[in-house]
Amino acid sequence: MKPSPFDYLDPATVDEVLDLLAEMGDDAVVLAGGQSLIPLLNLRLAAPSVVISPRRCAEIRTFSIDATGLDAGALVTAAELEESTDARSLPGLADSLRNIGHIQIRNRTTIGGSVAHADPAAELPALLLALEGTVTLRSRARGTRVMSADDFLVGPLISAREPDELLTRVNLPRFAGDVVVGEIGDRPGDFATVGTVVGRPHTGAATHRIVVFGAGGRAQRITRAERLADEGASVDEVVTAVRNDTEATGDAHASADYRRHVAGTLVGRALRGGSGSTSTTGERR
Amino acid sequence: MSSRRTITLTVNGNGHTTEVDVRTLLSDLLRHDFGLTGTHVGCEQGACGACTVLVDGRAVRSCLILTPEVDGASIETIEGVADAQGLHPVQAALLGEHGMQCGFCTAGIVMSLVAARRAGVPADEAKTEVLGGHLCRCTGYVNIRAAVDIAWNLTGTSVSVGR
Amino acid sequence: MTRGDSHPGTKFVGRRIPRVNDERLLRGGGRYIDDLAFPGMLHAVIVRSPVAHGILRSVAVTDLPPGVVFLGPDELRKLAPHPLPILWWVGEQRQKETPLVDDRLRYVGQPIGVLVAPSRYEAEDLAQLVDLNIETLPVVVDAKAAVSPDAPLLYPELGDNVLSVFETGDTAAFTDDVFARAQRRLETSIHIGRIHGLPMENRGVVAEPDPHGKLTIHTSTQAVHAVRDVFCEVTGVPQHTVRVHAPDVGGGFGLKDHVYEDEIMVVLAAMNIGRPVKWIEDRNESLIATTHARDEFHRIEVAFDDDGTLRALRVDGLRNAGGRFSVFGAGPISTAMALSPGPYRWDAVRCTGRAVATNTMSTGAYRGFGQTQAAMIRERAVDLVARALGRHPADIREQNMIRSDEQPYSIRTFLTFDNGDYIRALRRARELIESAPMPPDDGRRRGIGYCSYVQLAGVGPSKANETVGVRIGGFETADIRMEPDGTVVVASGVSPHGQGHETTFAQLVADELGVDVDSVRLQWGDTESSPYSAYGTAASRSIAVGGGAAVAAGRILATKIRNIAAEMLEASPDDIVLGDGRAEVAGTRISVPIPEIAHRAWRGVGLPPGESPGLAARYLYDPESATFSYATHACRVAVDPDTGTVEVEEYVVVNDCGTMVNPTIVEGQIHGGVAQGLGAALIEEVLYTAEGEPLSSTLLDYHAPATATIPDILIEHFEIPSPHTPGGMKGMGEGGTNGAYACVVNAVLEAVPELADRPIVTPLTPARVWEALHRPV
Repeated sequence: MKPSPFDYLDPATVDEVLDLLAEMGDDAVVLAGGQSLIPLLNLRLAAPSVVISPRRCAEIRTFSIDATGLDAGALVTAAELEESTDARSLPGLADSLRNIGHIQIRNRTTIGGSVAHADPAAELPALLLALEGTVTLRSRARGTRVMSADDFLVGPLISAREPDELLTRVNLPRFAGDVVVGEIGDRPGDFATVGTVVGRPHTGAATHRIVVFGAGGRAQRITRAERLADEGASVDEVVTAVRNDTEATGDAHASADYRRHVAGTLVGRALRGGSGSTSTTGERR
Repeated sequence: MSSRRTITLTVNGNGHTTEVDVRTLLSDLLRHDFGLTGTHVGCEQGACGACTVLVDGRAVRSCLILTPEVDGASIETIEGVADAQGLHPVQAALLGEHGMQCGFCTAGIVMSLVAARRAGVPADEAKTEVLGGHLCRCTGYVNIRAAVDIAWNLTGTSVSVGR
Repeated sequence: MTRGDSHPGTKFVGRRIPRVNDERLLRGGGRYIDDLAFPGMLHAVIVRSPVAHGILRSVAVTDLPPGVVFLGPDELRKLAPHPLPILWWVGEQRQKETPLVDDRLRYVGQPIGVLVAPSRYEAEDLAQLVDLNIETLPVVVDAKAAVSPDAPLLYPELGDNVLSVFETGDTAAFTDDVFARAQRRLETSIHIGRIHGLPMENRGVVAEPDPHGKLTIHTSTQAVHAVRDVFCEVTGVPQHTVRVHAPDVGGGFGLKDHVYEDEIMVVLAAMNIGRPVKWIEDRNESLIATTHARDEFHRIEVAFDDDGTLRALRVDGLRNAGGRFSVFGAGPISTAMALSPGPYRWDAVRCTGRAVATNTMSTGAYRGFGQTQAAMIRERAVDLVARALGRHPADIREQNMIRSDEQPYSIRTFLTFDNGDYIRALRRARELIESAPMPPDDGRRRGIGYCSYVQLAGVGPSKANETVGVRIGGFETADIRMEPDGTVVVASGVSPHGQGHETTFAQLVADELGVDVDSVRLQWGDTESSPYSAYGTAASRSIAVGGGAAVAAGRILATKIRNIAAEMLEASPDDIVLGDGRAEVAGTRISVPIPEIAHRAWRGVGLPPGESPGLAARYLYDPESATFSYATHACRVAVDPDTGTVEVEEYVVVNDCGTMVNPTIVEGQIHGGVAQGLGAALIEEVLYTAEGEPLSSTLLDYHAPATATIPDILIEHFEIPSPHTPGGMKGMGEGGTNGAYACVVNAVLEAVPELADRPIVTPLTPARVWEALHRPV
């Protein structure tokens, strides 16, 4: 199908974007990579009267990496990050990126767009949550807000971004340890039936991170499982906690039980020293 | 009027300046405004890969790009891959290995593989990651993977294909 | 791909010639339906039912801009006074035709009307102005629920939702007796999931009306004459004023072998407006409103003896036909029943079945046309027997297989298998799968599965069609014309949509005429020039029936060429050999180039006495029998017990489809067929809510196999030519699917026997496999 009619505006600076959002934010959508938004427009599931594209705003197209982590402008693409040796050194990032759709999608999809879209089965929001990252939101009304992932990711396709706000930056802290991403699906690149992000700290340097995504309405940290892992509990005990505490919904594709169980399996594999894995019907990667 | 826009872009080396309705998808612009019907539309959801073209050298879904987004961009489509002398190694390999049947998904696959080969992506990754972004309903992929191995072993960018 | 060609004696048949049309397609030169454009062309959208079941009380649209036209049910009924025929009547058939447009809405997506505007974008905008007043009715989507006593009725006048009831094979009494005398019996059930054939190109039509001449309908179809037949029957427009043309077609798999109401609506709109109108289906329309497939529940009972001898098979099937029968009615499920015995000896086989209406899209023709289900039903039964007796699945198969020396062999469902070495294929497949290297233990459960099948192909004798209830003939005609310069045009009623007919037909005819394959061109897909074919490209018939006609016509033409050459060379026609573009007196260097013969023929002088001018031949081939290709598939899977994911690690096929015109093309068909079988068995599923809302309306929801799903496939062939097809071809396009589905299901059940103890539901998604492992029954 084709999109409904809309006006398209692509100002050259973030300030101009903020002015537009202040004026018409309720009727507008912000177009980042388009890999999630345009499918919705093409199905007429979204029919905004205005599409605002910040693509000309140079200030949100760059990123930097240092010892503390990644600071990325919202429009940095997944491919740009994937191609950067420095970015790949950030624990968890390469694994997360590799699972996003396919290279043809990653050439357009952006870190800001992905996080703002808040798909409960998406990798980058889950990674943001696991790394205790933040997003920067700017608006005329509220100025600049830096919000934690936990506060920002509200529900399925629902974020805390107000209609007059632009998400300008994403910050992913460098975890002091390994971060392993696991997913289950039918084919590589599919949205995960369920996925996990597990942060295994270097001894004493940090605490465990255990995030499950694709199971419920948003990516979720299983804090009890994290505490057990920090306290040195056995992998089996941690896995049981994950299975008990994960909030999961069932649908036509998989039951809630399945999602909870497999979340535990993926966490167990990560804690036993596994590297990133995608298990799909078909080939294992 | 912000529902129409004049854009300038290069397609297969040829410059175009044209006025578009901003909601026009790049796939429709290429196919219907420029008559480059070699790029095909299978889903308009970005899932099948048939519409893949190169924008500034990168393989992307033309069905997920609004035309104003490619103002100033350089686009390559299937029509620009072969030259008068011969086919690109990827095309020649697909022909030699029977890597196509109905042909509808083929242009998208060619564009992705051309970009990957150009970028030095290893053959194994081309057969898994790159080809993984395309649906083909006819071939079962077996011969397409064989064609990647052949194409990656050829040098140059043009293969004359006699009979 | 380095195996040699299969026919060293012939010049082109049997050779792995690269396809002649690929370069054009690779360069972007394909002309598919959406690539066509005509001056003044407008664009249509189809207005469809948003509800699964209801009565359309009124349709209204106001304030349409000038130049925009909407045809709703009332207008369409006037233009299409006759119903669409259902072309296959089986057993007690209670629906034999369906109207173009119906005020009773029976599935989401049912076409209601057509709106035409200057662009597709605008047409979609304006379609939202169409106001539908619908009184909703209760919904039933599940076939079992549809036959329960208080089910909502889709056709109240019928009293229930059963659209046809049928049986085949032995009588109930006879079968009961064999069951009683057998030493053991087992039963199981399987639900074969609903899928979508998913050609990569969606449907489309461009109608070009000409009030002073012919109406031309360009359409992405597998059967141009069938389109014309149905369109003219429905509208009353005389056939000789209608031309149907198929451009390049991007896959069909049976889905484009139907004629759809929405396509006819678009043509009517074009005629009404007097300008060309284009309609291109988009993917979510296709997933919702292009014919679905399968969705069958089968109860299976097998009787056998302690020594492993198969005795009897009893199958009762229930097919979800959808909101209305597709053009092939209960054909697919009745075919499933007819082929259920497979390559084994049975004392009795009895199959009963019903096709039931529900508030879902119609199910109809799709690759396999029931033979995939036949293989699944029977191969599951055979594996059950093997398991019960502690015998190797391949041993049980071989023990019961019909041997070559027992053929021709009439199976219990009235078909006669002519010549086939099923045991050879099975033994070799077993050798290959058992010798595949085994990876080290990684905690996954592994299993090997087999499927041996015989495929009824080359449909088929017109008389046989009539006997089984198919209301169209199965013949094919080839018109071959050698032009004055010696090049050749072959016109056939079958048309390719990926199978490579342009190349294989050229190979066949080039060999018959002794010319180069490059000088033969296939003409197809146009009622103006293609000889009549009611059946079109389907049912694995093109190379057997269409190719058989081409071979026969080629032989007639070759005879004439030899006669003229004999006249020119003063020799006997029996001494003339055609080859390498020349006609030569055997054993001499005396020859004449074939183009000179053609030139003479069209000049009409210097011809032998009794020989008329021209150089063309036509042969109408109504085969004396269907053909029976066959194979054994074997595969090994690795199942992750903690997640349920299935990896197909090894896959082998040992195949006999008679004469292989082009082994590479045969293998391509096997690859594609296997991929569709694996996809449907493991990850493809069309789902609805209980209210009839489609859940599988995008390719993000409907999972077709990707490269990771399909391993490399090892294929070996042998060729036992068909005893009656000119050229010996049997046809095999659907075989890969027929074999792969049962093969991989059996392999998964070997790896996860816990699944075998309960009703089987396909696809065997990770979640389903996991549930079987982690939930006791």
